[in-house]
Amino acid sequence: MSETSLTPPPAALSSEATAQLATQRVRQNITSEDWLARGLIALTGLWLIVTVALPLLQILWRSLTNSAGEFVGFENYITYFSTPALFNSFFNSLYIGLASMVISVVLGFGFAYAITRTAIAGKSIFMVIAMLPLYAPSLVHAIALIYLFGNQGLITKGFFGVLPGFDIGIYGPTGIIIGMVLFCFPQAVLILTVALSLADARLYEASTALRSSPFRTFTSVTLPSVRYGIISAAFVCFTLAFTDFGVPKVVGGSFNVLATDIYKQVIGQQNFVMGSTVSILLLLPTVLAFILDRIAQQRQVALLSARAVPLQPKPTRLLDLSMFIFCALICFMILATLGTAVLASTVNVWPYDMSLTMRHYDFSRVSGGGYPAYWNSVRMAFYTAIIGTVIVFISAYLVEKIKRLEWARSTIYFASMLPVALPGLVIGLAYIFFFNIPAFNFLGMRVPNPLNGLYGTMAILVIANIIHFYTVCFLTASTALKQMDAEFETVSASMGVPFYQTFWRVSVPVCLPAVLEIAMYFFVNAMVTVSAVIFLYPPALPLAAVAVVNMDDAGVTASAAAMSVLIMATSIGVRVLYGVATWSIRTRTQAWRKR
Amino acid sequence: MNASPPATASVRHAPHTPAPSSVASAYLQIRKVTKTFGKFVALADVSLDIEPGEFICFLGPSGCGKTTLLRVIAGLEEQNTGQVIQNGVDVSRLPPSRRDFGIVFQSYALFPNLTAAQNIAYGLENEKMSRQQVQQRVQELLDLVGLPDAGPKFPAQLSGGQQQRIALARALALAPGLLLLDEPLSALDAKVRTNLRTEITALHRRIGVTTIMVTHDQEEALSMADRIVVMDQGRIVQIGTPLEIYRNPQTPFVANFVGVMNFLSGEIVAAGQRVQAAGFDLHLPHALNGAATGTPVQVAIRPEDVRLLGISNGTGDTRMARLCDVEFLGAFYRVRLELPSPTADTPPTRMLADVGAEAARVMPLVSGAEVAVQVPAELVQVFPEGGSA
Repeated sequence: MSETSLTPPPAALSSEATAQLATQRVRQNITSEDWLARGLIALTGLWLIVTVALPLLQILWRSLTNSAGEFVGFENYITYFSTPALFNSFFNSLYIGLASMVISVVLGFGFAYAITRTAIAGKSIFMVIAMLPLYAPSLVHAIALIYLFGNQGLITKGFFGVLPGFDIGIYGPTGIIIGMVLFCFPQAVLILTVALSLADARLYEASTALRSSPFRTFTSVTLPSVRYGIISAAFVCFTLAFTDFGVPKVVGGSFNVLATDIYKQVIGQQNFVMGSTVSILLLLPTVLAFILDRIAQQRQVALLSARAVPLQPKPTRLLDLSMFIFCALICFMILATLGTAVLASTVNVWPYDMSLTMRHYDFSRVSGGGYPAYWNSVRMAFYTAIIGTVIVFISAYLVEKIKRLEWARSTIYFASMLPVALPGLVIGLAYIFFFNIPAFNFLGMRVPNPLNGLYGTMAILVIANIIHFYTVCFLTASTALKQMDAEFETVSASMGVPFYQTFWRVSVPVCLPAVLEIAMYFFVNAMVTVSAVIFLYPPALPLAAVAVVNMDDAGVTASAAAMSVLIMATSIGVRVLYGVATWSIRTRTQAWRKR
Repeated sequence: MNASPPATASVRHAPHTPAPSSVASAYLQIRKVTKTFGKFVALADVSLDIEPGEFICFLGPSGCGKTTLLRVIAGLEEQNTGQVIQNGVDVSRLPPSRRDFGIVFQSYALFPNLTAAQNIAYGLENEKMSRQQVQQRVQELLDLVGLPDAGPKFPAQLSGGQQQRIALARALALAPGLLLLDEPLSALDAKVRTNLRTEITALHRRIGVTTIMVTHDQEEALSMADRIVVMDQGRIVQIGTPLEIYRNPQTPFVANFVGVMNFLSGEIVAAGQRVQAAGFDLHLPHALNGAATGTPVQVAIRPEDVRLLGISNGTGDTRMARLCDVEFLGAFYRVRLELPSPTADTPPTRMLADVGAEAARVMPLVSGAEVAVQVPAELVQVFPEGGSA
């Protein structure tokens, strides 16, 4: 482009135009359709205020008051940090979180690298096995570890004296970290596989052409391209391990962590004030990690241009062989732990009487709730999947596709990202505080809490689950919506077709695979979660995953293992059913995807 | 194909639209429209009248405001100030859904899960039309864009050019008063692009809908438009027929943006009629207004207007030059020339000349040869100095 002195300088507005600008700015009329969109955005905002903001403020407020409800400033925190018994847990949790994070990310990276960048055999089977822990509550790994390495463990006892037994000291940090790694590993693999599969073969060809060594290529091409994936995986693993409740509850022994402390304060001592103080301490590192991850992700630019050539891994004997052995070992360990849980639930008295029995699956003589608890969990997971998917997809649509109320949409986006940093226990405790209050004291007025009726119902459990798993689902929906042409709404408007009609006829069908994926994610996670619901379930509504905790607590570990197996079987079964069902639906309704 | 306008035309009209005002003959009037994005001025006080049935191209480099202007006309952007008057009605405050236009995007924006026919019928289904009427209208439109059998196909099963035709049919389905095309051909292959170019113009001639196309491709604008609106940095620089824009560019910017132009620095030697530039002495056929002797100017001439002669004819408009190199461009040769500078301290002037294949057969073009160059005075444009383009 060139400069043209014959035209006046373009940036300068005539004084007349500037005067007009100040006086009569053109605003388009607001139609009924706009009001509908605004109403929906307001509803989404209200939903997030009620389910995220207000409960969090409640828990924060409680940590600054005494048990009588009077404001005491930071007194509770001072008490916390001057009580070594409490204060040690904070560092214990940090240690567990960081150690589990490093091990999970390193192992996950190796596994994901083998899957995406080498020519090993059996990739799909390896991947299926690696994902299995996602379908089990975190406690399962801990229970299985006790069966293997505990005082009466199979390995501790040297396979009934066949081999010299050895005790690795599973109760305490060792057990927690092993359990956590098993639990976090699939998450790390999922994120890193996606990051590693986005490779541009041309960069590798260029690197080879410049005669770089494979090591140099790895450090100068591979690692930089996946660094944001590594940061993401580290964030997810740290948050999971730092806040998980199930594993330390079972194998922690006398090694206290924040999550078990909250449980002890709230359930054991009914000390809600200290419970909320510890909750805030549990929250701070995860929120910090969340912020760091957000900053990192914002720096990420599209590394993969549209013209990138996908990388086809070439066979390399030594690398392939060692990677195959590595993957096989990891899969063996996963299968061994899960297999142990299955086996332990079907033998008489582990490890002394290994004859098979189904008696542990008869829960009638043990506490925990038995089959009613199981069906409650299934119902809860089902409601979470249906309602959660509807809410998440509609709110993601509003944020992505409605062009008005920019500030409201970006606030909703941020509020939808936040739940990923909230530990389940914190959500649970915050909900107790918020929904249990009969009335708020607002500027001296008593305002009855309209949501008080939800306390102790299935509804509050479903809401807690939706919020606990909100962010991942929201991101899935928003990614799917982003991939659609931004002009669909414009074209519809030009034809006088309202946005909700286009939403129903185009957006939902085109995003159907993502919608089903979200529903599946909600179902499986609601099925296996303990932390979000353990404070919230009423006695009349026992839940399967909580029953596992209670049965393990009561010493009926085999029954706890049996219930875990039921949960796992359900999640995997629903996943398989979903695969079969969507396969047939997809072939019928997604014909347009084929060329 | 049916040459008359579609039978079910005007299936949709905004209920509040009164009869066209008889005072203004223009179909679309844009009055003093200003649009800023933060500090960036995308449109600065733009005014424009478009006649009914005209095919208008907004032409300009990226960032010149042409797309913003189109989006303001559609209501997809709110202008800060100014009015858009369509068919006698001020539509400035109406949201897009209440305005009367059809739009086609570079990305086609066809709904991927609907067939071509369903895409075209998308807006028709909200009208009070029977299923049969809708089907009939869809078939009419498929015929109109020359794809009578594409109805049951999904967009992914159609080529880029075919998809864009379906998008065009969809935009025309409600028989809008205004058709907006936002770089509709830019995503297509060169061959398909030229074909579709002629088809869109033919279609426009047939149905006569007032059409605005945004493009950065001058060739597209020259070959399709009734009038071209050249824009630069948020302003309209020139409005005119393709021939006017090409032949009589009002500014060096237009001269340089549309086609190729040689610029020769010089000055007026006899007020109103004689200029000297790069050693050429030109007697202008038309007097220049208000330019005093000694005013520095830029003399502009298209390469195809420069003549190469075997020997100098001795007139003032002819000079000897060195032929630097020759570029073969199929139908013609583009010759790079160097004119020795009259004084030692100024660099030599370079210019381009296009020689048709026919002429090149008569006069061999050899690099390094000395040739006589003629700049015909009746074909030059003279601009005041300062706009170097």
